[in-house]
Amino acid sequence: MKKFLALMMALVLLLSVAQLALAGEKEEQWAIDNGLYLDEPMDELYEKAKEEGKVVIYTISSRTQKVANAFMEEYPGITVEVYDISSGTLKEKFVTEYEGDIHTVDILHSKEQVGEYTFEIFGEGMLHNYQPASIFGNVPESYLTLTPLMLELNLWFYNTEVYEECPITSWWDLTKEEWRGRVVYQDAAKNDAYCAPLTAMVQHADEMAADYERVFGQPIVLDADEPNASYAFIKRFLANDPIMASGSDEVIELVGSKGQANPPVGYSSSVKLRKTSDGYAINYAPDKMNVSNGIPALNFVSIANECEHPNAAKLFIKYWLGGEDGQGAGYAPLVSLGSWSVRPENPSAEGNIALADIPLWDIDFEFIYENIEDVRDYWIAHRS
Amino acid sequence: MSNQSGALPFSRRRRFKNRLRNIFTNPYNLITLIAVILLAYLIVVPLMEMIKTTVTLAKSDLRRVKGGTAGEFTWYYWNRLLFSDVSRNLFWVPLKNSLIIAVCTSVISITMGSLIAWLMVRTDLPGKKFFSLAVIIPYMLPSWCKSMAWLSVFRNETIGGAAGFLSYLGIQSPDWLAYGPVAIIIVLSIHYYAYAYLLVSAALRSVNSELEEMGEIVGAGKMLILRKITFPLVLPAILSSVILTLSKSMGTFGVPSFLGLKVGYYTISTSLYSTIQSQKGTGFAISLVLIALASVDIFINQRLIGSRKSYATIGGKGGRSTLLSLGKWKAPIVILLVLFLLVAVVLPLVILLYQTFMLRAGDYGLDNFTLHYWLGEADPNISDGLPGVFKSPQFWMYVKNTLKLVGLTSIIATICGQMIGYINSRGRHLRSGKLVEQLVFIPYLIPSIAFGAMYLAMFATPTKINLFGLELTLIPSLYGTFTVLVLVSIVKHLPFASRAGTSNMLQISTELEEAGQLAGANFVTRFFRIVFPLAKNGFMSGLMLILISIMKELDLIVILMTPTQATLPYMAYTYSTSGFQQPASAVAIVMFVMVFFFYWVANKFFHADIAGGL
Repeated sequence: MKKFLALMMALVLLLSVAQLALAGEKEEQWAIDNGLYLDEPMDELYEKAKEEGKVVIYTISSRTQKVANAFMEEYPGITVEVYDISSGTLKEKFVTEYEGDIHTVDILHSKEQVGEYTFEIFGEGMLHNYQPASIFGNVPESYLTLTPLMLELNLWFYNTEVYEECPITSWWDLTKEEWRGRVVYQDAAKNDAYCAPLTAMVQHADEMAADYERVFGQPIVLDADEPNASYAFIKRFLANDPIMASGSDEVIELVGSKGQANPPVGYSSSVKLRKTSDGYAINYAPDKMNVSNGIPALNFVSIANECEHPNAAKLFIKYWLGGEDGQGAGYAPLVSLGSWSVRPENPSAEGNIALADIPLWDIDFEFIYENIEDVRDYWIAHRS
Repeated sequence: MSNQSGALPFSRRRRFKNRLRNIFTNPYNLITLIAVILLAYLIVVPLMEMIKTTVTLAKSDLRRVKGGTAGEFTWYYWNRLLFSDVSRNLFWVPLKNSLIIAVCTSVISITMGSLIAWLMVRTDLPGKKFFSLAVIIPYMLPSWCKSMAWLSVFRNETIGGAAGFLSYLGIQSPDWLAYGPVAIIIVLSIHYYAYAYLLVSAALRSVNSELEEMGEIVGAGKMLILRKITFPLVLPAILSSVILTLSKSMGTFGVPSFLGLKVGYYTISTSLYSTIQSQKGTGFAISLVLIALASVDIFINQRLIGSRKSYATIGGKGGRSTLLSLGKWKAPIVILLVLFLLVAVVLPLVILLYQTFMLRAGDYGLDNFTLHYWLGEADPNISDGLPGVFKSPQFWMYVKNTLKLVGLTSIIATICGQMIGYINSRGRHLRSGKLVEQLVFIPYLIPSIAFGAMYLAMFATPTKINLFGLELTLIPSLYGTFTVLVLVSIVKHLPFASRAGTSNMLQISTELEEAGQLAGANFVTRFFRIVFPLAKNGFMSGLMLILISIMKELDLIVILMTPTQATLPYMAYTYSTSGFQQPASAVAIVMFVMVFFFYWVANKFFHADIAGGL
């Protein structure tokens, strides 16, 4: 009897392990069946997409609607529904829907900075990459862990009415008395885009220590509650009364509004440089910055597992990235100062500083994913 | 219905039988049973889910709890919230700030609201018709409009950005006034005095003025009458508004985030919202603390008010009321009221409207005037090529969706509210009545964004039960349907709806229904021939109260919406997060105009008065 029970147990265990292995394969099989590894020509995709008739996109950018409008003109017969929500809500919505076996969305567009998509969502097969060679053939390997749409950066902006050139060249400048209450940042407890660069900074604490010496002329002396130079920066930065904005547009507004006698500097998304056309006196000078400006935010697109319109989704992604020659109308709304394509074929906005001239830390999703919560706690504990 | 015709001699068995039959035939019991089951499912289940989340280890937190497995029981979130290095800044300091704000806001807004109510109901104040409409307007404006208006006036150099109006004139307002607790308390008070005003004026209206006249006859002065007679009579209403104001100002997010966060001033609600994004377990734990605090508040309140919570006033007898003459105080009081309305109503509206005509934000000059944000065609050089609101292809779809949602939800919620009100009022001495009253209050305390997420999880898949091997679908998957939006909005607004229903039903004395019962009318006839006609005006008032509130709703439904179901608040939100302040203000104005129009129609044609609603 005991032997029989043991046998049964072993069998059950074996079956459940097999089940687990199968679970990963199931998603993979779906991707293969739906041609996510094929590189079908766009005409052929259009014929298949017409049968599907529709594609649904969850996005974090208001510019996606423009891409959709252009797409619907070019490919009549396919309706595009765009839902523009904040990145946090978007992820929660997608995951809850997916777990509830609801497959509304076809294309998900978001930003990866923290590794949560890589480790929690792609790892489970909930989203798929789509990297046909005709589009991504010339993209550097390092960006291909996801399906990259473009890169944006968070950079330090200054007010061009008051300053002729960027008044800061080092993160340590922000801890000086002259910048007390004159720095706009966002709450890193809430916003990952502002916590991730600090986490990368912690990874490169030795560089921060060296930079301290360059700025202040003497080596850094750490307090007992400052594990390394980067944590010391976070603590001293918070002690210098930074202004906490609630969004990157607000950072620009606070920094760039005209008519200010003593405007602050602020950390905001590089794509906001286009707000000069709305009357803000702003610029950045990331090529002059010591050590690093932070880490890039990878805007990625992806196809949801078991979505209803995979062919329309594939067509839309190809179109979005500018088509095979990269010059198509789909990419046009993304061409602006402060956004960089990873495809060499795509046009870049005139006057855009070359990505290679901007000092950045390489993204190490694994380090950031493992350490960001510690950095966040340190931040919360030291904010006033 | 024959249990009153007790012609037969006393019989224990017969009595028992009658009682038993009464339990099953009394419509009160049936309605209560249905209500309790529905409420348990729609409210208690999400609450339990929330509690479970705070003690279950999430996959994304495996990196923090070494050696843990996803889904196992953990104290990690509670521990992080209450006893860790971050507790002070994440919880205790914000809690202290919130308590200060809630108490000050309550004291100010309740004093203000009660005084205005007294002036409007009990005195010969001129222009009452105008004032009664005007004092409700602050409630119709979303609170973020008022915070924006506040900043437009008081903003100084401290946080940078465009100059405020005072600073434009060369006056630098001090930091303590521009941002932080003082600013938050003032703006919240201007928003929440409406609750006290509504509750107290309803109560005052129901007090027979003969009582006050009696005081006058025996020679008491006006102050003495106010203090010794009027005040004690409306005390229950005042205490009721304490609950609403206290818990609402503890839970509110918009104003403290606008006026506090930039200078690092956190409240429990802003701390909650910033936490819930990165770690749901800790975020929900904060909400549970909020719920617990509010429950304590309600408990104390129930103790204080005790049994003398209300009086039936629509009875068979007539009542009359004589107004108190304000005498030489008339002019100063009118001036004061007008000034107050200028600040609380006119100023925010004008600023908001004026903004929509400014081509570039912060430039008040006339050469900056434009109609682009209303009527302009898309221009790639302005706001990223966004067309004027009326030219936006989605605008009319959003208007239609908003009307559909608001219409359906407010009507259904009001009907449910009146039903629950019936249970509460007829069963307030019974345990079932109290249970329903308490159940219904819970959604009020769960943060909207969390409530929406829980409904998404609950209704994403069909609810099935397994009955002796037979699988039955109780509720189909409602995801993506309009139904789930309506459902979540109804449940979230039930506290208000049932509050309105209860006070409406309480005013209808049971003696009228009993008279019908004696004449042989059954429950349905009684309800439609007696209760409903009398409740009609209260019904419309309650409807308006809900409608205004749902019109502004976003957090609750944003996660449940599909792209084609989006509403006007969503439009305003996407504009403002993309930094397009002027179009966002234009949408806010449209929303306000819609609400105002509804209210005007209801007021004009149905004699609805929100003040009668609570």
